[in-house]
Amino acid sequence: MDNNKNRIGTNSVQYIVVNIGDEQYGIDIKYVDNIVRMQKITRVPKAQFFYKGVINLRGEIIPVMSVRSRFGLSDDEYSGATRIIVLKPEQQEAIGIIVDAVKEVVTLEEGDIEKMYSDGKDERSKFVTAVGKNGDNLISLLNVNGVLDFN
Amino acid sequence: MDVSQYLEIFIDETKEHLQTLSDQLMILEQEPENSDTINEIFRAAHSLKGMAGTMGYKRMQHLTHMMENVFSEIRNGKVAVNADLVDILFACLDALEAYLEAICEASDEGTEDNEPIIVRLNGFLEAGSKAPAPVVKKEEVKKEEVKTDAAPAMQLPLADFEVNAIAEAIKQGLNVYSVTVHVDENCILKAARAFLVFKAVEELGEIIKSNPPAQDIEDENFEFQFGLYIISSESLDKVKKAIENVSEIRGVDGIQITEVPKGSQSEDEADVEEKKQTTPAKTSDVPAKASKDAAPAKPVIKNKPVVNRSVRVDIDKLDVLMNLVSELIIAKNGLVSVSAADETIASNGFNEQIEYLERVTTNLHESVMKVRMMPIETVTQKFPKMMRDLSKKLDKKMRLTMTGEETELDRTVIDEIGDPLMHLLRNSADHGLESAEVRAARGKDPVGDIRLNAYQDGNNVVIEVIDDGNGIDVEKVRDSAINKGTITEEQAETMSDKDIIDLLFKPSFSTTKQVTDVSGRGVGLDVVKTKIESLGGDIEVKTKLTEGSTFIIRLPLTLAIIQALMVEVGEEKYAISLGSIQTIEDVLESDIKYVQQKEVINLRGTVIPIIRLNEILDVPPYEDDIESLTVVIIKKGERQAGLVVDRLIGQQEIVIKSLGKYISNNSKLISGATILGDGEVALIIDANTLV
Repeated sequence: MDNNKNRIGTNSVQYIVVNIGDEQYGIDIKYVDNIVRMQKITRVPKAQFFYKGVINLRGEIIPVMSVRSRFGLSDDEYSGATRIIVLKPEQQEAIGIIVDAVKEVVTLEEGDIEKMYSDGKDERSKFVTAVGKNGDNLISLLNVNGVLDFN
Repeated sequence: MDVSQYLEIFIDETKEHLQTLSDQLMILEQEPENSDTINEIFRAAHSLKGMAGTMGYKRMQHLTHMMENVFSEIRNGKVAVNADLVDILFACLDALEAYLEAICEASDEGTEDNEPIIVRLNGFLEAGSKAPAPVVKKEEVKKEEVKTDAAPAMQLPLADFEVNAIAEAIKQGLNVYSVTVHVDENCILKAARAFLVFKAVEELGEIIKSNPPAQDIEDENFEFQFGLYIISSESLDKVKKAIENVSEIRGVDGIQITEVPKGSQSEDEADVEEKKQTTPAKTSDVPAKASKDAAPAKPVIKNKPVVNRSVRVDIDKLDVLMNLVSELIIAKNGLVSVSAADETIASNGFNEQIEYLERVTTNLHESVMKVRMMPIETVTQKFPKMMRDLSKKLDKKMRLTMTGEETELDRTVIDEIGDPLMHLLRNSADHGLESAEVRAARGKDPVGDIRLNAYQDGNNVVIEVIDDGNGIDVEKVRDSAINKGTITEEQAETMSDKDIIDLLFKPSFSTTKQVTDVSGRGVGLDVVKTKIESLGGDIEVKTKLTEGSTFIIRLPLTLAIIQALMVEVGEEKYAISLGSIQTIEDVLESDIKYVQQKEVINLRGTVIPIIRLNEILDVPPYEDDIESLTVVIIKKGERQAGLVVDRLIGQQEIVIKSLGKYISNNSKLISGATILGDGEVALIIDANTLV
């Protein structure tokens, strides 16, 4: 593992770039378990509002979260490009998030990443903790643990 | 020797032996003269000692050694069993359990020497040794002999079959020698030298007994000498010479035995069995040979234990097996739905094959379930001892009666159910049973009665904890709840007794006026309830003031695969466990009556509340203006409720999957999800929460 990392570069990280609303977000590739097309989501009554429900991913029941609802954006509009990204955070169960489209994979060097400091008052500030520069594009880097932390 | 690979076996077997000890001590307390029990305890202590020694747990070994000594004295009638002794032995048991716990956690027994217990055990031993010196001496005596360096091997204690072997040998005209081998004090590999001595002697005859036992010799657990009983046709000199030929042997003392040493005949069986039990634990072929060689002369073995035809399997492997069965069932369900969708496939005998497959998978599932089942006894067997301790601690007389211990539950449930049950029993003993004075005033038996009943009821296993104590004082609970602000006075007015009693299961609610260290810290029943609910079960309580209370726990028989009724509510599919369904009824809208603003129906004389699933599940209504409703009648114990659904799909075997930790399920309405034949996910409704 470590050897591979070294080959790419000492401190580079690969991100999957996705569209959510008008913004581009980057998700650290180490958290991404799977990317699947939109499928029928079974609604779970009485669940938190940002959960769309659960899906069957090859025999596993995976909860699916709407990042838009979580971020307080308008409701999802599903299109042919809509994808469910299945995240597998360290030592936690897998969870799916809905994104509008998956763009590409980029490799960002440490120098391209700028940390954002937040006062922690706004819950949304914990969703994105850094911004990455990919050429002329700016990518908000998703803090996966922050998105999955409901407390 | 690296023993870590044996650690698991050690832990398992130690648990078994400790359980035997506990059970037998309980019996001993009642029947101090019961020689079977005494032998059983002796054997358990002996096995524990051997195992602890092998694993290098010196403190544990020492303690069990002392216990063994005490029991050998009891067996010889030198020490009488009294309440004091039983108390110490229970203390020993607790200490041993503490060692085991430490070993489980850190593979180390810890540093507790339990000196006070050992001192007290010694006290009993000394009291015993004041009696005339016994002919058959046991190990503690031997140890002293070894140290005083003056004891000839003649005084080795002999088990009865060994005595018989000697008698037999003398009868056949063979020579029996008792020799003491002195090993050079500079010898480094004592065990190896001893092994060579054993080998040399075995070329000339048979070793029937060694002191210390062969296992100890092998582990170098001896000073610079050891004793042997040898049967040989050769002369004593030849034997001695053979031994002396082994290097680093300083010398050999020996005498020929011509008279059969004494031994009491009544203990034959026990000793033989003891030998049998310990022999397999030994690794070297030396001791094995010794006992085998003695075999022809052994008295007839009467109670040969039935060969255990079972295999220990890691629960993880069973989990894997269970998962595979689950997937097989999902795949089968997939085939079923494909064949239902396509009629051309459905012909050509395809359906028969599917039905055949269905039978096989159902049987397979049942078999795997059975493998995972364990009798509830595995958790309840520790309760008698716990109740005994409680009885002493609380100074209340009580009697625990258990029935249905053979009732079987899934292994994962068994693992979890112990603590809640223990908690309920403590509760009953501490809060339930009245003090002796109150009981006398009420004309009750001074000995409190606590019962634990387990039985199977349909797809559930029911466990009841019943006491004949005070019962729950509803008024007291009501006052207490108001004082604590759990409910307001207005609320209290409208609450039924049952609602009030349910408050007991709320977090941080304890009615004991006095907090004891047994129970009453306020972290009681709510923890029990949470635990049981996490196992898919539920708990309720019935109580009558001054007469007692009954806690009823209901647990699902299986956790993974159930038969379910599939229903549609709106456009969504839900599964309801078949186990909780009583009947399915068509009810006219006009038959619905209102009682206290709630919908009910009168079904053959029983008034049953109606729950509209689309409302509690937030499903938009499916059709308006329907005259007839499909109502699924569910039951929990004696209570019933009717669930209004839009359409019935049919019965299906479903695999229960967890919804995971992310989605909060505060209402507990949904107990899980399942994957249908077409790959879609359907949620499982927990009917128990609705009744």
